[in-house]
Amino acid sequence: MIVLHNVTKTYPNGVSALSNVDLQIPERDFCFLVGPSGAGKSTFIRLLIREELPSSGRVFIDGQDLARLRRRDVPHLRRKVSVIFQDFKLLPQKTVFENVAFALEVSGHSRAEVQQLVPETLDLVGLADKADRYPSLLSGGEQQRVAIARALVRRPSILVADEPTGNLDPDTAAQTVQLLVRVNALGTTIVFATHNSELVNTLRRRVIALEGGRIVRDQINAGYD
Amino acid sequence: MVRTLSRVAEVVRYAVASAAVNFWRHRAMSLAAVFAAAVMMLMLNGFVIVVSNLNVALGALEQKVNVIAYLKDDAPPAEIAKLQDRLRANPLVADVTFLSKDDAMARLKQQLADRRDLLEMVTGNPLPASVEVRLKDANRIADLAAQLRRETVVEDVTLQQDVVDNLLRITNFARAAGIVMVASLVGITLFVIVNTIRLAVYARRQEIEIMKLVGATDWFIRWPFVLEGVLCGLLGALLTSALVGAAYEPMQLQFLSLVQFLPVNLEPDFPLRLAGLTAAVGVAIGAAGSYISVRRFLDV
Repeated sequence: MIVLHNVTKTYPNGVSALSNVDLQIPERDFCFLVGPSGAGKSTFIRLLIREELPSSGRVFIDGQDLARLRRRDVPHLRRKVSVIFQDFKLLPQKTVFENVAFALEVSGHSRAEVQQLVPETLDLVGLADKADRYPSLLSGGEQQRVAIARALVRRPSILVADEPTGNLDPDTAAQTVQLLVRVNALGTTIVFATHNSELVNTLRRRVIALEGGRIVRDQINAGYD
Repeated sequence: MVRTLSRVAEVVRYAVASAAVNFWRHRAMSLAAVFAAAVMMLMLNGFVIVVSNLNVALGALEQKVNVIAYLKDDAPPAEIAKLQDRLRANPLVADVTFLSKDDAMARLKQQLADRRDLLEMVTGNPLPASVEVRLKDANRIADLAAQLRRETVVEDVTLQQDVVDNLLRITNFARAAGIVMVASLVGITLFVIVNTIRLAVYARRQEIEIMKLVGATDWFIRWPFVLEGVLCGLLGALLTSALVGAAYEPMQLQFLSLVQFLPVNLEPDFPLRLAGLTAAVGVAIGAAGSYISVRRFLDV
């Protein structure tokens, strides 16, 4: 459960990214976060994994106030809330398998677990045959799926996707979304930030629209506009 | 429990592998760090050896330090007894020996046993009775002498201070010079290690950022770099101990022949303890250097 209570975020350079945002996203929800560039979507995501703290107001994940989280508990938050980054953030000198395994290694999973979970997850995103490739040899869509696999491999309770279809052709984008829908069906909360109106209109899920740092619309079973 | 252990084992395996890879990838810088650490610790070793030897010598000399208070011939025995009691109660004093006029004469006769001709020239007993006082701390010899001079039964006081004074001066100087030298070398070594590790950290800053974002703990990220620093420090320590081990015996002999009059005698396990100290300093400085380098990159 994600709760934002009257959250305002102003960056040190004076840019106001979010103002007075109130929001609740229950467990197992699938919601789109839409809005033009600079509307505050990325800031919203940074707040969820405590890459940033709100200037005022509070962010709760499963009842935990993130501003009160101790520094050493931040890693646990980030294992619970996985992010698929817009720029993927893959390590070029590691293979697909290693990039995904990495997320498990940092949380101290055993090698046996890694050997079991990574192939399973690569299978889920359809990359089982490319496990030994390096990211630079993959297409954008494939890199995207590696990033998704890395986010999924730890079975997070919340998955946040930041423009995951931004660089993909329509077919690949549709596949990615189908994948996330499946993951959602398995019980993971999904927050999907996107500009892609077609996707949003097709899926008819909850839509939270941001504009100028404010929520201008929050509708269930909605379209993009 | 087993699960926790296997996790720890996983983290250790990961950290050791990364540290070795980093060390090798930047081997020129790593070697520079190893040598800087070795030079620093050679100085440290030399300093510890010199000061330890001086301390042993000083301790041996202090054992012998006496203040001798010569007593007036007309001093009443009761007063002399009281003086001895007061001295025994004095916190500066380790030991008090009374030497009567007869004892003094007997000692003189013994010392001059092969010069009977000289003894024959002595008529009566011109030697004064004396109280010989051994101190607990050679530094306080002047204080005690001053106290003794104020005693009514005391005629004169002689000190055996010069040798001790000189040795004390040398030891204190060696200690101060050594501390300044070692401190500056620690600074330089730390600087070299910090920069070596920073290179490794910088090369992997992207990886560190991603590790943070996917939920790695600070220590998980830090361990490989700390181990790399420890490896530099430890290799430096090994190099140092090897050199010192090879040079220790000949130098010890040299030193002994130089200061024959001093009873220099360190415990037999001294070289071993010195190697232990060196290794500990190497590990500490390597770990500290790495910790400092990584800190800046962990704020994600």
